[in-house]
Amino acid sequence: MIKKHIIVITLFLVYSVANAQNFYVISGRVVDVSGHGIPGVNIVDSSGYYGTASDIQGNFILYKVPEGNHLFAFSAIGYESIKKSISLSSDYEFSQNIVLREMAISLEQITVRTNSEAQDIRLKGYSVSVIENKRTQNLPDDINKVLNRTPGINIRESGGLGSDFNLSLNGLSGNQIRYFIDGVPMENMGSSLSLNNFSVNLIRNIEVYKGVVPVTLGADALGGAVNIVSGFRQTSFLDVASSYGSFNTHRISLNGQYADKESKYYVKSLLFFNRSANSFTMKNVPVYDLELGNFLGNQSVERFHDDFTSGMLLAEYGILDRQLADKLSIKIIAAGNRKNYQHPNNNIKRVFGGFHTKNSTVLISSDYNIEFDRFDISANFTSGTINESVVDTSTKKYNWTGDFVYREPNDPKGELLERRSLMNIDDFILRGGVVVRYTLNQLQTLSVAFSQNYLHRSGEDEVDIFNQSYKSPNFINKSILGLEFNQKVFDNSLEALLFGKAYYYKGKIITIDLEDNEVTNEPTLDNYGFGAAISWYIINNITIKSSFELAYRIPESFEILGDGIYVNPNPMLQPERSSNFNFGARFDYDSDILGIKSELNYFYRFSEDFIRFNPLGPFGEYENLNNVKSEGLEAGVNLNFKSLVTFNTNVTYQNITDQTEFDEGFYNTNYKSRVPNIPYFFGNAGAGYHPFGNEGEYAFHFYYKLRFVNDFFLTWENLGNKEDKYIIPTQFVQDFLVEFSFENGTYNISAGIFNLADAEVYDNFLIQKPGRSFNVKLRYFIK
Amino acid sequence: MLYKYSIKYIAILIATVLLLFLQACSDDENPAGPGTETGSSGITMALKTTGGDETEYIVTKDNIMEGEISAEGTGIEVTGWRFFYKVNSTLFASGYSDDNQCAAYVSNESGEIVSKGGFIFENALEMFGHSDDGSTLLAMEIPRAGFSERKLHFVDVESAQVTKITGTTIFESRVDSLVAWPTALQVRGNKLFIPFHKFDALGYFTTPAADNAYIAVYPYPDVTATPEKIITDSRTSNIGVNGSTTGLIETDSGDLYSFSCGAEMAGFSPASTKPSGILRIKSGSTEFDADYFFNVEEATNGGKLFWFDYAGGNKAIARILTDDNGGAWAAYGRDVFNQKLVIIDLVNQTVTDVPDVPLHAKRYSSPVFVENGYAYVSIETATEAYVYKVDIENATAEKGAKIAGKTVKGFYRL
Repeated sequence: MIKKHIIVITLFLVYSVANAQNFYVISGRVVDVSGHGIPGVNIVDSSGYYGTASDIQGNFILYKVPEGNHLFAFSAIGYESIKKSISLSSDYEFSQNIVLREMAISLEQITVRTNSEAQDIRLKGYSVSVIENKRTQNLPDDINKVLNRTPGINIRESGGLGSDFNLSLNGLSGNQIRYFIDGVPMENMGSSLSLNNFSVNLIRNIEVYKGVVPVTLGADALGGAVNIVSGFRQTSFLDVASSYGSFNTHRISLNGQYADKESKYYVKSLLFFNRSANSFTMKNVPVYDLELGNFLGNQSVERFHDDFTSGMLLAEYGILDRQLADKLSIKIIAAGNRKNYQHPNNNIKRVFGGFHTKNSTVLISSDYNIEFDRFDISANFTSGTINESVVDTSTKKYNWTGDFVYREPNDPKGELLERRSLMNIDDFILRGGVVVRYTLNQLQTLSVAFSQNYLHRSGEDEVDIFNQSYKSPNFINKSILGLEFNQKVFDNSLEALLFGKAYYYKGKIITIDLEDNEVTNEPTLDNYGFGAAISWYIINNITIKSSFELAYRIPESFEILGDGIYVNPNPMLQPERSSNFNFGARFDYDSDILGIKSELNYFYRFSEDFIRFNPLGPFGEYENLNNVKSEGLEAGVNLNFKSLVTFNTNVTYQNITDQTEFDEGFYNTNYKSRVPNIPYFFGNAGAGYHPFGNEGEYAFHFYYKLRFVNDFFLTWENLGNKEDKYIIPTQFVQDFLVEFSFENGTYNISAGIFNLADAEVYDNFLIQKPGRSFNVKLRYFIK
Repeated sequence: MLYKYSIKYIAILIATVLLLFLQACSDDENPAGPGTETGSSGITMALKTTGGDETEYIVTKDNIMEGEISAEGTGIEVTGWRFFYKVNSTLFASGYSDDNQCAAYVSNESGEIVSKGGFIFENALEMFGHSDDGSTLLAMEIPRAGFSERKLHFVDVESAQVTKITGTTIFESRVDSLVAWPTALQVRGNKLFIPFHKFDALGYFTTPAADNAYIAVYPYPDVTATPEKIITDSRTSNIGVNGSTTGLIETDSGDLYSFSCGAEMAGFSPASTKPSGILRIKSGSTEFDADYFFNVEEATNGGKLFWFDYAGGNKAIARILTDDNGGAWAAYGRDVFNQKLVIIDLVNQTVTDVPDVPLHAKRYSSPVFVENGYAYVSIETATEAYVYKVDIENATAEKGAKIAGKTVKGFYRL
């Protein structure tokens, strides 16, 4: 006897564009007429290849269903089978609800809900923050600001647009974090392609992997990785944006693509141009007399030598859906910048009027992807030249008032360096990466990733004949091999992955010793790391995840090879290594009235053999000297009320302690003390008001954003007299933005006031950041 | 504004909760910091701590012969590695690579150490001296590479302001690619004596001409761009060592004594073939005393002077490298502990070991602090650092307070 019943299947589709072919996650629930879940319903598509069974509550999940038409059969003993065809196709718009109503004998309603790729990644076992940039693309924001609103991240800048910055992620920072664009490492690509150059509207998502990094991002990332996803769409579009703001700041970007689906090719062009005078006011800076160096008094002055200009041009051609390639593309990138320095990054007592740096980068890059049988292969190849120049040739000597004197003709002093200098460093890079994924069966996949990174460096000082740095060329070659095994169990609600990484390093440097002999060093290293991640989708809304990695950072070339002058080579230098552990939970809820995305994570990093410069007389070398422990909590909540009001907040507390028990043989009096000069408590809050909702012909958005960084000490907090300790004061920065879009997002106008209260803000000791500023942005987007 | 503060309040509240949570999880029990015990009339010290950037503090303590010298909750923080040099009652702390600023510290009426201003410079000031009357600090910028003037700063001690900068190359030879690196700025009467090393102009600190002692003699206070003369002595090597301001010292009678090291461990490259020893310029003379040479290397069975300073009564306190096997610059490191403390009778040419002080390693030191016949020094062995009070007359020493840090760079009564 066949019972009549109703199956309500909530299809929860997750769109993923890891490669050219898109995959979806379908989830849902099978219930009977009275709403009770039916366990043991077999769900199989007509190919027989994608299938699962419902659990005791009737829930099911299907992972990695490729795009195309699928006919799914739902069958269970005692019930009548039903069939449902579902068409999965790529669509750039996320989060659309398609409600299918079918009055078949046994099936009443299916909800098909597409969700963003971001959510797919969030639900993996990695500790990962995915910043969906869609909401930000129209705003006059920059990437550093966007990243800074992520839990666990703190970015410290030394000025305005183009200024040097240091990103810290769960307590690790600098070159312990690696950066990628669409999975390709940005290491050594030159200052024109650093994060803060990219206009926000060029970016779709930013993935921040905390401490545990997938093997597909092939790099020696000790503390995590930031992957910028520009996103590939097989459609034609044009995206033009321009913004103008305080301190004569311009940002222009153009991103256009023509895709011909018939002829299966596309051409793409992308360019950006940034320029700012960064002429913000420095409040109460010390003015010294130019002849003798005596202190004259504090004064508020405008910065007069901090102009920054950068630009990039990219041209790309690709073919699609061919027999031997799902996608094969080639692109050429040309980028450059010029950056004036008002003062060194760590000191405002020296003032420059001429010191600047220049960069030019030319890269050629090719991407390849194919899927066949159970293989999914993608590869990238990049090569290019990067030139960085440090220009310290001015014969003038400045102070903060803009006054200057000319130096005596016999005085060789530059503004920063002991002798005037024009140092050119020429790098040649060659890198390749291949990722092969093999699907063993419905529940198991195996991935192998190999990447290698070759850097050849030579340099010459055009002005200072005494500068010997990089006169003899040197090179390093890093190779990383990764293997990852992914297993799903319990009806796919639990996903575990296990991976191993092997790091190989080889370098060569020629230095001149004290007797003018050439000395060749050829250091080599090989190290092995491993890790695991697990995510458990407990019930519909809650995911628990945990991950671990023993990670390495291979020393930079200058750390092993020295600078040819005062930094001696240390061929014995070992990589920094870190045991990174994360445990977290997500709660996601979505209804027509309220959307909630929330997370709480605990992180633990025990990092050993930190590399530090150890002086010896006037010389010195980099050595493995420090151990540091970082642990903390980060929490974030995003609320969305009927798409009318949004609210988000996150907070990070981290306790970073020195675990070096002995320092040069002495008991370290700061053993287990908090490491100074790193923010340990910070957070963000934001509110948005969207009177016309998020979609539709017209959209109005109002945003209020707030960032808080608790004050912290420059040096060890327990040492020194409390009253006169150096401190980096509490930051409290508020931004207000308005956005107006019409014709379904084709025309967008936005304006922002940043640092509303004109607060005096410092990320670094005594290094001021801009006060209140205004910015307006226009963006045209059509597809 | 109300909103702003409420957010901040919430933030602090969350912070407190998190703090408590982490505190509960934490096994890192920091001992509670003891209260400040800054006395008013104590001995002021430049203390280099351990860990990270080895932050330096100006710490004052009444009794440095007991307990521990620590910056825990006390002391004035300074930025970066600093040279410390006292003139009269003013202590100058001059930045090295991190901060191009020299700050002056004095004791105020209530005995607290306070800053009384400072000035900036371009290249680091690396050599220091003072006028006979203590009204002027002399400090010199020494470029490392190439041919260029060393800049002698005249600083008014009272106001801590620069009054004059005079450039001088001291010595240079473009033919031989040699420049001068000063190792003392010693004023006596109307003369300024600057002993120096001859370095390769490429800036590698190499000493291709180490086998003579050189001193440039200038008029003072009107120091000229070129010295009146350069005196040379071939009995020993270049005078002084890097980082030490006491390559040349003056005794109570006005005689000047210089020390020559010549050791590879002390930065000579190549090492000198001449013995380490002491030369003299007699009071009133501006020439080396041909009748005086104290061959310290001979007197100590192969030891080489690494540091000396005047301790009164024609005696010098000194460190001897007992051998020179550590490798280049090793005397500035923490791997070789072969320095012994001795008392040298400059007139009678004797060396007396101070047996109470262990072999140690010591890199930088301010001029020595001597009071009532006792010198105070910081002695660093492989695992510990202690203050020693050295009886100059009897060449004995008493172990004092433990140093919670790497070293005390100098002791001062301000």
